[in-house]
Amino acid sequence: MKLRAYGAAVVAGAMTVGLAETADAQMRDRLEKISGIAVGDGIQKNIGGQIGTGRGNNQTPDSSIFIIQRDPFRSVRRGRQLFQRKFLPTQGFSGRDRAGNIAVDASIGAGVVDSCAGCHGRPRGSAGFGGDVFTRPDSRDAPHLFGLGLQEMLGDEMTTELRAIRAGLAIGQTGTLVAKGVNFGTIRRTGTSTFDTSGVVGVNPDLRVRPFFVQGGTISIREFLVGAFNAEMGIQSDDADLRNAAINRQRITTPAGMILDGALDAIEAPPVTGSNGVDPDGDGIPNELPISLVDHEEFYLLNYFKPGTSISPDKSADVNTGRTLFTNAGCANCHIASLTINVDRRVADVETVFSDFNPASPTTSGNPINRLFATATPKIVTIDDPGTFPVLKQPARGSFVVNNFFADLKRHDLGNNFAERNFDGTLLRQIMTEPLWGVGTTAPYGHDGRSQSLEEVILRHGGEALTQRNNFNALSRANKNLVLTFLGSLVLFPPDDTASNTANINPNAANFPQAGHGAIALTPLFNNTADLE
Amino acid sequence: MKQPSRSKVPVWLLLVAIVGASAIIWALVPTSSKRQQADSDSETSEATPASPGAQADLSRLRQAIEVLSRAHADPGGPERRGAMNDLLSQGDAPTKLTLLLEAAAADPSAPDKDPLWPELVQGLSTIWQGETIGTGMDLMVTESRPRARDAIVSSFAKLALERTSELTPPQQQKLSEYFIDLHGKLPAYQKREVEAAARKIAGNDVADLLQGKSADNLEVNREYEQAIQAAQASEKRLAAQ
Repeated sequence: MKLRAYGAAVVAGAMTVGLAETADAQMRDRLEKISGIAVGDGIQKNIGGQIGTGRGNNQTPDSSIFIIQRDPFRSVRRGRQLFQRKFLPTQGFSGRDRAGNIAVDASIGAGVVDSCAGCHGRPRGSAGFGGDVFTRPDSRDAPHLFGLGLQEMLGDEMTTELRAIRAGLAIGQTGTLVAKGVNFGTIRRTGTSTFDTSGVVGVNPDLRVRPFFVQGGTISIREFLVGAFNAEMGIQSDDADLRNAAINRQRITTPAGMILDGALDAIEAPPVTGSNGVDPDGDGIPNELPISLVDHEEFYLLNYFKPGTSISPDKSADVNTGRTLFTNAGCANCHIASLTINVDRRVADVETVFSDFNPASPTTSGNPINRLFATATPKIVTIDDPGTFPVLKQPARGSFVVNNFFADLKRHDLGNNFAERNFDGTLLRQIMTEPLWGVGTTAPYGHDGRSQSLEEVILRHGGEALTQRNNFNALSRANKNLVLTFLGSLVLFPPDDTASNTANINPNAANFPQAGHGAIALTPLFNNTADLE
Repeated sequence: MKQPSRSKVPVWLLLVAIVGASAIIWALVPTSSKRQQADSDSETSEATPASPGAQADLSRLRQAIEVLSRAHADPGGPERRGAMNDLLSQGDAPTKLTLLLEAAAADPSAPDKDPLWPELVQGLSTIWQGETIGTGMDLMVTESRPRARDAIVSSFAKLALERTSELTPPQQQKLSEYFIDLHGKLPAYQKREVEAAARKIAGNDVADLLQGKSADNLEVNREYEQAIQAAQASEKRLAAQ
């Protein structure tokens, strides 16, 4: 096996190739015709082109595994285009039967939307926030998905650490459960395979950290996306990975590198199973979401950009002072600023920070639209293998410090103001700490969107966070504003409208900045830059 | 686009493998070099043999770490000082970093009572140059050996105090954030260092708050009030004219 350094030619391409692909959001594909008229803009590939040759393997050109392993930035882009695709009824959209008991299956309450971006659509063109679903009587807001892969990896590694502590206990011995510095109480081994879990806090007795949903309910991106396609879009997948893990209790590794072990964890089954046939919604369309699309979507969300920070020079003193007040008030006890991933499965990291518009330095300048600049850094190794296929581009799997995360991935009782009603009249009291990254741009707040401002949602805290809430409330008006300024610096951004080192601004472009505003562009990183997604 | 550079397997990789500290050094090594190291593990025919000179160097460095790991009646005596100088004289930055952290972790003396601590910190601080500043900062949270982590934190406090101008604005911001986030977990002697460094790069308010002073009289708020009063006075003057 011989190595090939990541090609300088690709770098040059990244700097010089223009953003040839559409920057739209919630798109149809160009090959579809609307009312007989060819669409002039949109996704370049139709659904069949996105499916390619199926899952295949790394010797099967145009299969999902081949693309993920040899042309990973194309897979990320394809997942993005799939995320933004407006699905048609002929593709299975909206066919789900919504009969049933909502108290048993809350997903019945979810509305029907024709695109992932219908709920996760803000900022524009991102996998952001913005939707609202009726899966609880008081509604649930769709959270942003920035940094989702980092969140998945953190939860998974924390689980491994907690379970290693459990495994190391002798009979009669009690262990303190600490993962990545977060304390989850204690556990005592009572027999060869039995444990007293009464001291476990903030996580289920199985010690599986579930980083997704308010209640901490889902383990993996793959389960999350297959579930959402079904619940919110009526598009059902017979995902073999989830089926094998959930129903056949197998240990599988998804193409994005996530291990799902049905023998250890309760994995969510896909909506299409052997027991309900191939078309459970009876819309006449079987196999509505082929596995290759699930693969690309999972890979996209694994690699999705983390949120940025927008700290202009004239604000840095306020932001840093606000951060210190936030920490001194005890907020950072649960909203932990940084956690470290030991093995990063992503193929790149993108750091997005404030950068004022400066036409004199177009390679580092933000644009007038959002005054941010993103720096993409590949995290891959390239390997030549026998044959004529392009080199393998694998994640470097180094460690990674997740900065400005502000969460502990642990459940807490935040008191009555945060409790959530279920359809059966019970209350959900254990709430997963919300990561605060991006929080400056995601109003309204709370899982239910009931808090109109950051100050309102802070004052809504109680229960385990009552002391911190009171500490904040005791600050002077001016100091509260400093804390809010700090929180306001944690931002999301529209990737297609954010200048980066993969597509700089061009202030000389006609109609700048509507054109030439730069973007976080993946096309220049494809093996074949002329083959657009 | 930042790209990992391609390089041949250097002698220091052999040293590192033997010294046994890998996690830290990998943080500073370009990705392609990491893969090449992995390959060299499996394809021994491609590995570069250590020269007799390199082996002698290695032996000396291992001995230096061993000397520093022992308790000494005179911790500032010539034997320990000589050992520290051996490590500090390493020219290759990743090797030097690995060795210094190995020695820091192994040394049983309390940092605030160790006469060689300032030299260790100074030696580490000189490693942080250019892009390694950003990577090195992350070691403040990823290094698991307490004494080695303390040495890294002190080295960045020193960098912030003495070479502020070498920090880019994003590096200055990131370092400020780390100081704010880590301060509460630091030993007392180190809190003072970090407070001084924070005063230099993040301002008096942050430093005062870290020191536990009241939040009632922050500079940033006074300046804001003064600006408002000045604007109001200006309006009054205009109205009177």
